[in-house]
Amino acid sequence: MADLGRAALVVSLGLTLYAFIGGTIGALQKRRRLSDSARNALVAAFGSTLVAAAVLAIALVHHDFSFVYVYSHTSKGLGTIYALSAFWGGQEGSLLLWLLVLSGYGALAAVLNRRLLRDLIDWVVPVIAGIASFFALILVAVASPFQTQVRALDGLGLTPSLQNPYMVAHPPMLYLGYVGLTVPFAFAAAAMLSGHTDERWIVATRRWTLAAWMFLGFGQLLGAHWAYVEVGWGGYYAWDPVENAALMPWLAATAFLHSVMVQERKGMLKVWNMILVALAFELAVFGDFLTRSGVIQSIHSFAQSSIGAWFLGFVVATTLFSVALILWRLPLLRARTKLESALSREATFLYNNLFLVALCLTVLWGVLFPVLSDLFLGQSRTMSRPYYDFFLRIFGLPLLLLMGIGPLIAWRRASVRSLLKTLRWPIGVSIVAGIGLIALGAGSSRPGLIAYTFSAFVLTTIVVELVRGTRATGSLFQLIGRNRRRYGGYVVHFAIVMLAIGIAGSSAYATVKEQKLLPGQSMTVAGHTVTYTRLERGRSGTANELRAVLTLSGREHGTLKSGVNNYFTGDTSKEVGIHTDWLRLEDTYVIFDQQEGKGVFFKVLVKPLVNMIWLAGFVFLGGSLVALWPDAREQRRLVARLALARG
Amino acid sequence: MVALAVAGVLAVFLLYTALGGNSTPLLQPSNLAGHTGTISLTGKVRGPVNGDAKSTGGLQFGLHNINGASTIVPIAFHGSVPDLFKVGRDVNLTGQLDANGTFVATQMTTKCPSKYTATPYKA
Repeated sequence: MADLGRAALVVSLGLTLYAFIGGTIGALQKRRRLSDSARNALVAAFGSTLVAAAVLAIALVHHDFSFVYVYSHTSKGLGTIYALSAFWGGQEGSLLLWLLVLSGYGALAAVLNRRLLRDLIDWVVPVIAGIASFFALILVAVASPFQTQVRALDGLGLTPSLQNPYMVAHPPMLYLGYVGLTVPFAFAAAAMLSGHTDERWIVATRRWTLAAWMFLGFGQLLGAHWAYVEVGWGGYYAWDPVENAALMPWLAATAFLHSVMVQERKGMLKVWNMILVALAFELAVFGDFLTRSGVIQSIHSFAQSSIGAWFLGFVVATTLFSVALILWRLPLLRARTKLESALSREATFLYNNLFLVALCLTVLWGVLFPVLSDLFLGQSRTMSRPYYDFFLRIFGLPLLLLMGIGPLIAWRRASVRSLLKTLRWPIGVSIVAGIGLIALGAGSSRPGLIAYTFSAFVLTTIVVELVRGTRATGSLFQLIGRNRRRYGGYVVHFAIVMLAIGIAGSSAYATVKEQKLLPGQSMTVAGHTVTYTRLERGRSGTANELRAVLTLSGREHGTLKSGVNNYFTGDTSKEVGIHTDWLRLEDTYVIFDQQEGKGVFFKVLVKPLVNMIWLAGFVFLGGSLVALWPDAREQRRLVARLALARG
Repeated sequence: MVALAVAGVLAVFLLYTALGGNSTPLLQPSNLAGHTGTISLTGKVRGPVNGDAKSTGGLQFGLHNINGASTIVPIAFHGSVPDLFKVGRDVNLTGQLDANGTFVATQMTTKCPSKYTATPYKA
């Protein structure tokens, strides 16, 4: 079995190398048959990688401990789903998943666009194949998942906290996002290599970018929820370098998704869009480098290995390639029109882009700071949470406001008077909301109050737009169906507002209290009285379970259990107790911190509106799917642009 | 060009902010000596582990460099002990060095379980 896996990977390497070299020669010399052959090789590479992936999946499911990888990441007692999830739990398996998704995406993009975008696809294939060759080479020569050993009786197992449904979905979602960003990058590079820098590459890759962005965004939220319910520290995002590694390409892709609208409509920001798409791709690969190199201390890093040098070389090479391409094609990337007014929709998109990129670079700066400070100041220093929180507020709050203004302001030029007239309802509602919130005591946190007020502003703009559109068409569904991209976008904006409200509520207005309680004793936190009633001991198939039973009274009533599992493998895991008030979307979160005699140290957190964050994830997914849905009008637009490009 | 100019200004602002504060020295046990103020210390847990995190003396253990042997720094930890805390695991601590050479920490994180390899591969 392992031999078959190894052989399949060697075949993948050969095919991707052929697609890279053959495709480049074919595109350079305009040899159509060679380009077709390279495209077929890329499709075949997906097939051979699928075989390798199937071999590893079968070995995992059948607990074949003659595979070093299976031995290291699973054990006999592990259920099938979790055994399969070990596919992406380790370095080698996750690299194989990366190659599988990349070759699959590449093959699909090449096949779907082979007729309409023939001139671009001839270059897209070698670009994607070149990137895939790198991953295939790593899998064949540096980090093979098919190393074997004398068959062991049992494996090392999967850490208990990873045996959670979220961890089955979260990593593959992130990989679908990271890898998906290769497709728009390849099309952008192909546009520059072929000299066809018109807007077709943007129209053709909008859905690819949107899908990758959706997976990356939803994947991060899944990870955040896993951390919240399973890791047991009461938070959901810790600004860890590897968490940031997923956030950065998402921010760059968000900027790109907005700025392409300006290029499509006005022929502006062409260079900027090339920079953004390259930045998103490079940040995705950089994230992979961060996780695997051990260059930056992170709680998420894989064990330090030589693989980091390979990734660093790859990041440097692809960055130089992107910069050289953009500089070479600068004359072709000149804007057709100029920005006419600082008060226009295109200007608003530009401001939005600047804030997003500034936030992205701020996070990158924080991630790289330990390395840079070591190099230039002689001492490694790390950025702490206040740094990130500060910049999140500085750039995030104006972004929130722009989200309301952008869709309502006119293209080309708007006057202050017309803008105020358009925004009279949102401004009125946000002022009333702000005053109401101060009266309710929300003024204790200025950033929280601003976030809520801006959220009210954006929500009103969305409602105004929907009401106006529905009046014109007669039906909300008809309205959305007519312009899925626009209204899908509004739904996503709605999700981002929910996210902002959830983050502001659960961070700016959270209450935390720690106290030792004996059975029968109580503590009061933010109007909730938590009473520790008794301790229960139990035993499952994998662990001894200790649970403190607590009752909740005051604003809410209920019972919750918080405790600790002592696994037979020697691991321990805190099991938090969460009581959700669905009316307020508020959680009472109890951590069993430590037992001492008959008493228990509890940490109780009351987190207002935290559930808004998780609900936002579903709304975000729904909005993205609406915007992704096939649209005949867009296909017609692509055909029209093709005719225009052919003159 | 407007965008690049504004991004450049922001980068300078960032540089200023970063150098001006908000950062904490990131050290390993081998280069901890003599440092004052809040420090982020990363290392591997060494036993024996004594006491508890809620007592006055705190949870006591040793810490040495992740890669290879080094000076062992005595640690006193006060706070919530993460699930994965165990002898031999990599942890990051935030705290200060006291006059007796003990690192008194109030925050601790352990390596993410998804990337933790308990035992080296047996070839």
